Amino acid sequence: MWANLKAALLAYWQRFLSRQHPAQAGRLIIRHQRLYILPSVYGVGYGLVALTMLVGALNYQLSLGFFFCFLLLGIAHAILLRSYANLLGMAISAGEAQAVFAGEDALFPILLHNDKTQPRLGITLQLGQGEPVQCELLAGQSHQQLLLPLATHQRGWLSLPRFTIASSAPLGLFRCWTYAEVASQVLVYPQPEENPPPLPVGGQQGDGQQLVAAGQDDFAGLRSFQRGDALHDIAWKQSARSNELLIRQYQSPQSEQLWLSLSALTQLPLEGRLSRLCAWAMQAHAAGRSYGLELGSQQIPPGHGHAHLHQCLRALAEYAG
Amino acid sequence: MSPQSRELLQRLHAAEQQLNGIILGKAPTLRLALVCLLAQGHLLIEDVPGVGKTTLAHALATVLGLKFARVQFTSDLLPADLLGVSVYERQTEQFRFHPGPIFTQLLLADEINRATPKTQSALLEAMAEQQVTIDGQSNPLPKPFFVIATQNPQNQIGTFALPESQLDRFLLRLELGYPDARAERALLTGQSRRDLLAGLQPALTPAQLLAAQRTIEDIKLAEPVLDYIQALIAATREDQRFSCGLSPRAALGLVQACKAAAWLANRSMVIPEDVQQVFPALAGHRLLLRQSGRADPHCALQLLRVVAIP
Amino acid sequence: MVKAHTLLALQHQQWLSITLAICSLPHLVQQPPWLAACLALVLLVFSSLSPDWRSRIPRWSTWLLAGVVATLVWQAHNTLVGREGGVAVLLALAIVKLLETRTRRDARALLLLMFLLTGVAFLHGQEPWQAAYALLASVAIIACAQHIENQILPLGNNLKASGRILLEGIPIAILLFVLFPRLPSPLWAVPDSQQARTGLSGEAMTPGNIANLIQDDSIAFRVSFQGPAPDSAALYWRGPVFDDFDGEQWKPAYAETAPQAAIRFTQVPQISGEGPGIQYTITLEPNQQPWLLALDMPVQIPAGTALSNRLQLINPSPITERKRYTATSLLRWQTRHDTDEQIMRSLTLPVAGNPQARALASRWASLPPAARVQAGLQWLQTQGYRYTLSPPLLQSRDRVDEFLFQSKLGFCEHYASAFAFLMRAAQVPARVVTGYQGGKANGDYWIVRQAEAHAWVEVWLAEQGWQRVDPTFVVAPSRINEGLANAVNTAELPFMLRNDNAWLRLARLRLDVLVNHWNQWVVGFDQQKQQDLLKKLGIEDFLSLSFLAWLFGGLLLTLGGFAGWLLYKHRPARLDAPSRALRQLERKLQLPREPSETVSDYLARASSQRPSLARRLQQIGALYLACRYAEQAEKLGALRRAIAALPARSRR
Repeated sequence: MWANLKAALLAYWQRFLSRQHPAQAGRLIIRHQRLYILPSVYGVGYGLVALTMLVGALNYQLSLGFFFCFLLLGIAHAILLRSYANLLGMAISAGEAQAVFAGEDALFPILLHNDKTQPRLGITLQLGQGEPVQCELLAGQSHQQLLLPLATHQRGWLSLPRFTIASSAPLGLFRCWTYAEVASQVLVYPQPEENPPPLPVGGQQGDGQQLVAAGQDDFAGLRSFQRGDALHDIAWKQSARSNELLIRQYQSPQSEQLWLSLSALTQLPLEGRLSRLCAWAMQAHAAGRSYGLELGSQQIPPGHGHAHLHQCLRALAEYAG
Repeated sequence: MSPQSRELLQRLHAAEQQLNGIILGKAPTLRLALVCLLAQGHLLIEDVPGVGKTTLAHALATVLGLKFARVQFTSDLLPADLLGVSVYERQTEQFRFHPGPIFTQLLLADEINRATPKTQSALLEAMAEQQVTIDGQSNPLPKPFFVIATQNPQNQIGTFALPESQLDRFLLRLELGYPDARAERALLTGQSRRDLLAGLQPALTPAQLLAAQRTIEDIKLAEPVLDYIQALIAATREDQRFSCGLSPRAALGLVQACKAAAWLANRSMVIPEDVQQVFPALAGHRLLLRQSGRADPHCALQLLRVVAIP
Repeated sequence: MVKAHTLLALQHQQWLSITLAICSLPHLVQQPPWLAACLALVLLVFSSLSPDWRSRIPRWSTWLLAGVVATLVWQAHNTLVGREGGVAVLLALAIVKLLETRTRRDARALLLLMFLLTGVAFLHGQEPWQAAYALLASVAIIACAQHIENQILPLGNNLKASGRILLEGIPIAILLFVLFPRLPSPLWAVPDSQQARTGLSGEAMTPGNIANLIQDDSIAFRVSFQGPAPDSAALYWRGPVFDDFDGEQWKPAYAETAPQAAIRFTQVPQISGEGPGIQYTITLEPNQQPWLLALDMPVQIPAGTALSNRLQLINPSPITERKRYTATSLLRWQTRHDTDEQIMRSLTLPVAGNPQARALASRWASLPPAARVQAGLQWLQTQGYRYTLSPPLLQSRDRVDEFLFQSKLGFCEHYASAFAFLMRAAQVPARVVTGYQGGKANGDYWIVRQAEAHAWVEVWLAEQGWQRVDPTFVVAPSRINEGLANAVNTAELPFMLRNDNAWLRLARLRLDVLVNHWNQWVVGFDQQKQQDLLKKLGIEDFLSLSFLAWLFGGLLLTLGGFAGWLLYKHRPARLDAPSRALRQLERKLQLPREPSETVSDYLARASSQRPSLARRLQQIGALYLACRYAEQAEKLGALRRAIAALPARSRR
């Protein structure tokens, strides 16, 4: 019964939060309707000190004791307002998170914008019960980026859940907080297989011809000599025949095209196959080879470079079976 | 804009048009290459062989009327092979300096990361000081002097990656990339590049190029744009992903490049669009990720999406 | 949120140590010197410990230290509770806490202790400088707390912000101070403070103890007269009355303690008099005595006090705090219904001693009582007596004789004592009254200092009852008419009573005006004063609507004022004109621009949504770029017009 009640209350709380703090695209500005403030434990202690002062002043008929007690209250009030103003009007937006591999922490870049001339202090972002990240000082009319970590478990697109923005500046007597949900997604690549088998030898090419992935450079042709070319590369025989110095040109196997295919891997479950393809794509990229990806009906023509790797990994992450 | 400046701009646009006729479907990249030269910076092209790096350098030299030289960097290339040597001449009984290939107006340093650090730094020193010092004797390089360096994208065995400090000497880093389908079709069916290159005409003289470089100093840079540039620079320094942010030299280069981009766009003032156009090429190779120690060009684009325009 | 268990850095520890030192200082100076030295030494040692060292100190040693300190406090005060003991324990606790302060949570607890220490410092006194010191200490504590929470703040900014926080707290503090209901009596009985203090004594008068007071120019009390002030020669401030003489000392008829205390208020003589009553308000500095001073002779006395049968104004408890009271007196008065017991007691002399004085008095025995008094005065006037602050020490057994017939140099107490002896010997009932004489006007009030302590004689005559006779007056009339400074050698006087160096004295008197206001309106702001003030505001009692209106209205006004000011101060920075125009466009298109989106991109996006406007948007874009980045202000009007001319998007 207790558990039921707790669950109901939690559900109500979540509904309340979603109503009060709907997800927003672009900039979210902290308004007073959604900014909460309560004294911290420290603040309650401070209140007890003021109360002690009051009792003492009443008892010893100390006029200045009264005054000091009320001064403590006045100070608390000034701090309360400052604490509230510290977060009020701050704008938040989410940047684009860099894609990560499943199992790594996705880092959502959260931008805190301070439009006023006064600085803001000690702003903490926290995702659920996760590790909080803090911005000690957000200078006036500036912005700062914090990276909010979120653990990833599955490949695919992961949305940034609702998180807490809190501050107890300037004195820690009050905790002022709000909830924010800004639209931001991160692409989670499949987890690359650990110690994958070596890259498939060659691959299917259009005409089915097998190319040997050689370890050394292959002779590719001749070109005319330029200053700076190594002497041992000069093709003396050919040069003798023509009337200019010719240089032997080599081509590394990176130009040979490697096909990574999902359908070629049969003995593994789907996620395992995707993991392996992911690991292979990275290996091929690291080796500077040109590779293509075949995922069922989807084909990515062979290519190289960062953009190509991203494209392949993205296809793997988004693959829906 | 003064008539003289207008005329220079027309000539540069004519040059640009010729370039676009040679290297197909790469107009933004070619524009950035011109921006780099106008801002008196050196250019780093990172790409695989065969996409037209040499053609680009050659074409640039021709349309701008510059003297051109190409040096293939290899591991046994010595600084003297590049800079030149002092040779003892028996007739005059004294040493005479034989200038190396670097004494040109546009130098293509091919596969710069195949040379030893010693040779690399010899080139980069010359780039920074605009002169070559051999045996205590200073020989000024011709003016204008540009270096277009290429390097392979991957760290292969037998290469020496340029250290951060040296990467900083290249104003922009460009990727040519494969042509898109239409451009590729035109390439395959059209005339050979070699013939086209031979048909290029210089659009302006080196002196006019120097004048154009001076002209961009007059481009207006308003406070909000400066704020934006500063915000971008600050963002690179605050971002915890990078091992270090952009240097003041890079910031100065950004300002120059923005002015050049604004002038080429036929505008008398810099606007944030110029900054966004130039920034990825300027920051891409300078921002090294803390984790991998490599540059990820995507990060610069991402910063642009994150930093607000004041 | 800032984590509470974060370990503190050395810098934090130093801040805490310095702040604690500031907060402890008012308490340390009040402790016995050896205890103060011990605590100061401990504080000094702790503050120099590095965090590394601190973490090596085992927890039990803190408890051990706490035990040692408690023992020391017990040694010093014989108690661990109450005013002295409690404060000392609190002080020691804070200092020991400094040792085991390792985390932010500890630091916060210590900071709260410091607030408490600063507040209880008012138990030692409520002078203006003590209040100023408390404010200073508060700023230090706030600054330290800010540093603990957010060390990135530079020192200058931190101090400025802390000062601001304090200043913002003051209006609320004043409001609550005025309006918070005061209680007429403490919540529970508080043990008395045993502070020794110089001043008049009610226990005995020995020739010499008033002379000691002459060197003390501290203020005994301040008086403000409701009407015109009487002539200073008439200002006899009545204090303790002494009946019994043992040849050396004068003592009161009844001890102040029970069971005799109650008898004092029986058979009080009736006072009658003429002339207008003089109403005045006295602010008495705490004298640790259970009696008050009043202008001779009080007829209306403040509530809660009583007039004894020796016509002395008695307070139920010793005056430990500054006390303010109002009374009415008559300058010319008579008493009736004096009891025989009292008259007989005023004739009693020791069995033997001072034969010369007795012989002298017996010569007047044939005269009527009033003439005997006159004869006594004439004797003092004509026999070459001199008034001096430094009379020779009287050491013989017959001190009255020695003074009257040998030294002839004396001070008011010598004359009062000798004259009362002579009168008693001449069978005229006489007693010695002590108090103060004179005072100095300072603006609209008078200052009476300890140095103006005085002793005179009252004799009882059958027709008039008790009458004041001042033998000092016949010896040195200028003491009464023109003040002490004119009656004696200036060098013998304390600074504030001299006539030279007028400007410095004037400055101190001006300062005293402020101090007097402070005492009346801040320190002396009790239930009575509060009621008077609230009445002026139209508040009858604390449950009335008007009180609540004042309280909540005031609070709301203050809170609202601050909130408004803060919001104003923390408002977003104003945008420049082209940017405002762009915001206007965004609203009109109902399409917000992303912060990192350039205007060209934005307008392209907008055009794709509303292609019909594409051309106009392009024009707006060009105008905006020219205004903002080419700084062509003349195009601003065109930009605004172009935006205003756009058709608004219809809401669906």
